[in-house]
Amino acid sequence: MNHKLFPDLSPLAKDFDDFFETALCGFVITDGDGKIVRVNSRTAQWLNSTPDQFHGKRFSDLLAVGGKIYFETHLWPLLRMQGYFDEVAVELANSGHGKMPVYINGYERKGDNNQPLFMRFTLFRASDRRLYEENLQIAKQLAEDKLNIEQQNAKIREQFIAVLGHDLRNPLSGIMSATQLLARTGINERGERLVNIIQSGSKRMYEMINNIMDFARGRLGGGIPVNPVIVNLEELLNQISDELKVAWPDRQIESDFEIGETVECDPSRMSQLISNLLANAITHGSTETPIVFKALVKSNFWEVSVSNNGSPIPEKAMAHIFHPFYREGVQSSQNGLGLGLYIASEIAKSHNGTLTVTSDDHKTCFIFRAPIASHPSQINIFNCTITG
Amino acid sequence: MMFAHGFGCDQNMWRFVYPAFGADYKIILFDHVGAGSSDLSAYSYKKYNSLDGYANDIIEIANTLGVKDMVFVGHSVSAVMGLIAAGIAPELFKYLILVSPSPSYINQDDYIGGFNRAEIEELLESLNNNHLGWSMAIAPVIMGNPDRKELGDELSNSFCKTDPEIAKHFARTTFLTDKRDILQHAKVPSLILQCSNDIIAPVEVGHYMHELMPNSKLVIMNATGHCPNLSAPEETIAAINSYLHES
Repeated sequence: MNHKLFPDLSPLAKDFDDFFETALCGFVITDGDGKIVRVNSRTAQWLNSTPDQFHGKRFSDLLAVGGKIYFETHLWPLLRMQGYFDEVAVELANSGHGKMPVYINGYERKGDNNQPLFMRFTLFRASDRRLYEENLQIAKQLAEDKLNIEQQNAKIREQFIAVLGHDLRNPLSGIMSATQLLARTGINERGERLVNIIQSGSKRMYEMINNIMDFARGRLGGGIPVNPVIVNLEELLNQISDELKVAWPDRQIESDFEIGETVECDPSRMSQLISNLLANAITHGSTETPIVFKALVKSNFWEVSVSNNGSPIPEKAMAHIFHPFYREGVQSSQNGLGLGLYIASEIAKSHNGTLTVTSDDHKTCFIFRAPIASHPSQINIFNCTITG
Repeated sequence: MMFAHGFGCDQNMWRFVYPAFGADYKIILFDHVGAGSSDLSAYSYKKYNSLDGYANDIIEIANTLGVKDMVFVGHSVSAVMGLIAAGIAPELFKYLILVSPSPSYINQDDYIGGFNRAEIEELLESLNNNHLGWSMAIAPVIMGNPDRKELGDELSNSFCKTDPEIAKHFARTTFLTDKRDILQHAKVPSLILQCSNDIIAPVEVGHYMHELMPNSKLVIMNATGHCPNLSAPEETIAAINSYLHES
């Protein structure tokens, strides 16, 4: 029907022949041994030649020397082993116009006796695509170089922090012991006030330096080292909350412990973690309601949580809250370096545990949870409620 | 009987050949480090900077398996690795079967290796610029994730897809090698199988090796190309069998 509408249209075979010869890709057919039987005009044109020039040659003769070797060592074996290869970059032999980059596909047809009957290859011009890939390659290389330099710099910075922290501690210890001696020498009231300022300032500074060193140790040496021992958790937790009650006598901490068994942890690191959480709750939480301090020891896990009322942690901040040098809000003077929660979460990690936070309009709750050694951790949602 | 594959693919290269010897021999197949399913993280640019690194692997495999008096079948560059290994530890080898071997690929003075130096430079240059092979290197992802082997498995729908960095280095080691000096010291009886019309190891190379190697036999095969183990397995098997029987 169609050929009546288009009387000029060539018979199918002729049309197909034209397609084979002038398609915008190269076609090459070889016999079972790999000798070229037919090459289309497009391929010949790319090689600045005529199709009959290639009869009897090997496919690799069309390629530049690199491609020749690659074909014989990689592609020919592949045809025999898996029957095809695709999207392989090679270059056509230089026939006056330079080496033209192409992508080639090939497959082998086997006869009944499993012997190859013929092989067919398709060649696609790839000059533009090659350019694009080269640019991509360069961009990748640049990005990798930049990343390397950045990583080097980061490492140097962290080493610098570690050294700085360590070296600052010695003169500070000197200041602290001298101040202590000075306080005992019977100074007047004004002197005492000044000594107090020096003492509380150096104490804060000492804590900050310790945090910096923990931070550097965590970054450089793969986590904060812990020495787990069997601990009476209730005793430890009471001790921590008592210390904070002394520092903030007007704030209330409500304890709710369900501790049947001992746990294994590093007591001084655990104190550091928990007292950080309690101090945060005191500083950031509502002054109207008590801090709720809970602990629970089950057969396969144990957890400690600290909750407070007050304005919630902004959603934006939640994602970064455990990152180093993160400080909530702008009034940074009270917040130290912003390492506390980072170090707390590193301590949790060193105990194979996690430190997580939830925060809404009613309460903010930090939960430390760790598995009990013989039982791998299970994911349970700890119900963190505020009473009273 | 140990089969060693050459530059390009992996032990699958022997799939049509080794079964013919399974009844009479214990068969050892392996992938060179850096090729096929080998542990890519074990690849050392220092060790494999010369063929001796590979030759030592061959000796190590034989020693680990407690093999003595083996028939070593090496294709292409692995044939030369076999020659080096047999020089170091001759007691391990009874016969060497050298399939399409070449001690040096570069023409020098009267020696015909098949390529001039500029052509080999061009090959290495093409590999360096990623102008050969599969599009954009995805392989470094595999290199960086040795614990995620499945990434590699997904990609290797082929037996000849190698990490481009390793392929470059292996090509350099292979095609810049000149081991012509060891041929005259080769003591282990050797069969040299050379194809007709092999652009990588031309017939002249076979003749050259045969002349220098005291205990060698040369067979020029009807098979064409560089991989008779794949293109003419029957002829290859027959040639090896008749050599082993008459020796």
